[in-house]
Amino acid sequence: MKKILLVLFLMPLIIYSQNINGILSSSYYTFQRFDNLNNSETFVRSYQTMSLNFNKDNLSLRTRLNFESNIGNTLISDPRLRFYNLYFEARNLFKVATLKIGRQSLFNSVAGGVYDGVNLQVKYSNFSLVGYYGGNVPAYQKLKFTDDLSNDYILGGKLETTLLQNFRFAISYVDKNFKPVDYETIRLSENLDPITILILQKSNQYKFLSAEASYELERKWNVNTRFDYDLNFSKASKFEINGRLQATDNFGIDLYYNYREPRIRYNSIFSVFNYGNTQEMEAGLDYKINKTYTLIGKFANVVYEDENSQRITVGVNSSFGSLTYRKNLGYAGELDAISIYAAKSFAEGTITPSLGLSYTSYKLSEDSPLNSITSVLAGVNLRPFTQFSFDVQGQYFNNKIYKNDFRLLLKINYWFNTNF
Amino acid sequence: MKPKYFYIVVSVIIIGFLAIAASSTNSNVQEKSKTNKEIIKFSHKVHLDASVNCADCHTKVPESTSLSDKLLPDMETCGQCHDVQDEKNCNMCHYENVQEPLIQKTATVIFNHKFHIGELKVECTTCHKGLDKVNYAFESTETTPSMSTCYSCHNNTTVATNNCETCHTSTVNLIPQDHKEVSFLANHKFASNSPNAQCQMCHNNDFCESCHVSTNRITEKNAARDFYAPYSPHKYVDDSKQQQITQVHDLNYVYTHGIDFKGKSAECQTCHQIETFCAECHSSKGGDFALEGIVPTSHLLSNFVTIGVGSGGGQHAILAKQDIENCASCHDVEGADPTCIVCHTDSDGIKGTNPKTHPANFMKDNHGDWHSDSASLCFTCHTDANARPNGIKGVGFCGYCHK
Repeated sequence: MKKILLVLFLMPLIIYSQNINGILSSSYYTFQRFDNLNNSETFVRSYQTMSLNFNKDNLSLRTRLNFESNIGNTLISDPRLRFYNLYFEARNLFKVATLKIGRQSLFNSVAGGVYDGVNLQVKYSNFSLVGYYGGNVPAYQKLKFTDDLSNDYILGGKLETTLLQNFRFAISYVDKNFKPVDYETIRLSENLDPITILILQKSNQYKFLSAEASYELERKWNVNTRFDYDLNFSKASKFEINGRLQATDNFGIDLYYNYREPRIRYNSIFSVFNYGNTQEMEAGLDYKINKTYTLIGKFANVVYEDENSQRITVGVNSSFGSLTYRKNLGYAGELDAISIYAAKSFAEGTITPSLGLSYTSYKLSEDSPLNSITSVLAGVNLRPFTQFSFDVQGQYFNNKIYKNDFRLLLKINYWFNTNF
Repeated sequence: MKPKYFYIVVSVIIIGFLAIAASSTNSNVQEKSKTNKEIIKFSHKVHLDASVNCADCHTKVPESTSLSDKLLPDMETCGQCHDVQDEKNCNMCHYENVQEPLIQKTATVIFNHKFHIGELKVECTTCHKGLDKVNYAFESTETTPSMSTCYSCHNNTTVATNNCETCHTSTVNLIPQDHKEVSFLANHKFASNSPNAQCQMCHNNDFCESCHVSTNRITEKNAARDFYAPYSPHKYVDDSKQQQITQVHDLNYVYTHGIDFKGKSAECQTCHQIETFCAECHSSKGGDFALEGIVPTSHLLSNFVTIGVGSGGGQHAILAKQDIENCASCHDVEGADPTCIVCHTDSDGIKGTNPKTHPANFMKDNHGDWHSDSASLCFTCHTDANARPNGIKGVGFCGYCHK
C-alpha cells in the first residue's frame, strides 16, 4: 500500500516538474565474516542508492535513499530501506526565505543528525536567521515518524551576521532530546534481597548555547572562535580558537587550541561522577612545492588530568594522491601508520585506476599488546559514457583476526538530468 | 609469495604509479608554457573593434559538441578577410620562420558549445569575459570561464544540474588547493560558514550527509549477527563522486579508532550517536552489553578496581577522571544497566559505607536531574523500597533526609 501511495504521490510531481535529475548507484560487496576464529561465512551484500530531485522554478522535492540486502545469507532485518532525506524545498519566498519540510539533515558540531521536521531560513541584508524543529529519525533511517515527539526531538536556531566587513558573528541554540529505552533490572532491597525494578530514563540530554566569531582577510589570515555553553549543567562546555596565516603564496601556518568538558548526557549516570576536562593544542604547516605537490606536517598535544597524548602527522598531498605518515604517542595509545593512495585519470577520463596501501602498527594502551594491520586497495573506474561509470575495487586485509582477507566491490553508477 | 615480498612489490607498484602520474602532470605544465603569442601576431581587441563577430573566425564553434574539436581558426578562415596568398604580407601575422599551427589547450572538461549557443542562446561574452580588451586570449584572466561563472546556472536551484560529471571528465583531480592545507579537515566547519564559502559549487546538498549522517538510533537487539565489518551506513555510498570509491574512514579504522577517540582527534559525536552507535560492535552476544562486551586490557589488570571505602577505587577511578567519555562509550548504551551500579550503589542506606561517587559539593547545586520524580537519576542507584508515599520514614537512602 505504501508503495502505491508513493507512486501516486510521485506521478503528479514528475508531470509537473520542469527538471528531474539524480544519481542511481548499484553496489555489490563481498566479504568474509568470522563468527569465531575457526568459523566464517562469505557474504554478498547489495546496496542500491538513489538520489533524486524534482525541480520547478523555486520549488524542489529532494530525496536520497538506500536499499540494501544480502544475496543469500539473509539477515533478520533485511532488506533495509533507508531514507537519508526526503523533503520539499521552497526558495526565495518573499525574496528572503527558504523553507524545507520533511526529512533532512542538521549539521551542528554540538548535536547533529537527521530529523523529520521543518527548517526555515530568512536572509535579509547582512543577517541570516535559521530555525528548526522536528523529531529524531528511527533506527536505520526508516520512513517512520517518532511516536514520542515530546521526548524525542530536536529544536534550535542560529542568528548570524556579516554586518562588519570581514567579520562573522553568530549565536545559536540547540536542544536535542533522545528518548532512551526504559528497562528492568535487579537491585537490592533494604533487606539486601534482589528485587526487579523498572528503570525509567528521562530524555533531556543536550541543551547548548553557542557563540561564534570569525575574522577573515582572504588568502592572508583568518581567526575563528567558538564557545559552547551547556545549559543543563550550567557550565562552559567547549572553547576553541583556530587561526591560519598564509605567510607566502606557498606557505601556510595553522594554530588550534581547544578546551572541552566531556560530552556527557544530562540524564546519564556518568554525569554524577567526578571527572576532568581536556585541552588540546595543535600547530601545522603546509608548503606548496609546486602546482602538483603540497607538503604537510602537524603536531598536537592533548592534556588530560595528569596525562598527555601527542599526535604527529607528516605527508605529501598531490592532485593524484597522497603519502602520509602518522605517529601517536602517550596516554591515548601508540600508533605508527603509513598510507599511500593514488588515483589518476587517463584517456580523457575514460579510465581511472587507483591504488592504496597502508600499514599500521598500534597499541591501544600501555598495557595492550602491539598489533599490526596491512590493507591494500586496487581499483579502477571506467567511464565509457558521460553518464555511466563502473567501479571495481579489490581489497586485501591482513591482521590477527582477518588473515589474508580479500574483498571485492563492484559498482555501477548512472546520473541523469532531464528538462521538460 | 612471502608477505614481506608481497608488500614490497605493491609498494613499488604504487610508487611507480605516483612517479608516472607526477611526470605526466609536470609535462602538461611544460606544454602550457608556450603560447600562441610566440606563433602568430593577433589582437582580439582590434578585430572586435572592427566589428568582426566571434563566429566569423571561430566558424566551427556553433556546431561543436566537444572541446576536443579544433575550435581555433585556420589560415583559410583568416583568408576570408586577409590576402593570405600575398607573400609580402606574411609578416603581418606570422613571425619569420614560424609556421606552426595554433596551440589549443587540452580540455579537461566536457562542454557542448552547440547546446549552449544554439539552444540556450548564451552570448559568447557571457562566459568568455574580457576578450574584447586583450590581444591574445590567455592575457585575460577570465577568457576561460571560472567555475563560479558555470555555477551561475549549474547549481541546485536551476534546471542545469550541478553533478560534477556534467562538466568534468575526471573527478579525481578536482580537489581545490585549500583542501590540501594541513588542517582543512579539522577547520572545514569554520570554512564552510565563511561568507565567501562556495562549497555548494562542487558539493550538492547530499554531500555533507555522506560523512555527517549516521544511524541515529539502534532499536534492534544489537546482536553480533546484525553487524559485520567493515560496513557502516555511509561507507560505500559515494554520492556524486562516481570516480572515487570514498570511505569516511580508512579500511582498518575499526581497529585503530580507539586511539582517535581517546586522543580527541575527532569528535565521534558529530556524526555518531555514541550512546547507541558504539554498541554496533561493542555489544555482547545477546547478553548485557555493559557486562559482557569487548573488554579493554586495562580492565583485566588486578588494580583496575579496588573495593572498599578509602581504597580510592583503583585504576578505573583514575581513568574515569581523565576521560569519562571513554567509559561512557561502552557503559552508557541504550537499554543497558550501567556497570557502575554493581559497586556504586547505596544498598544499605547507611551514610559513609558506599564508594565515593560524587564530586565535592555535589548536593550544593541543582544542576542534576535527581529528585523530581521516580525517573530521576538518583533513583537509578539509590533504589529504596521506602521511596513511596506509604514507605517507612527514616529508613534506607530516602531516610537520610525523610526522617
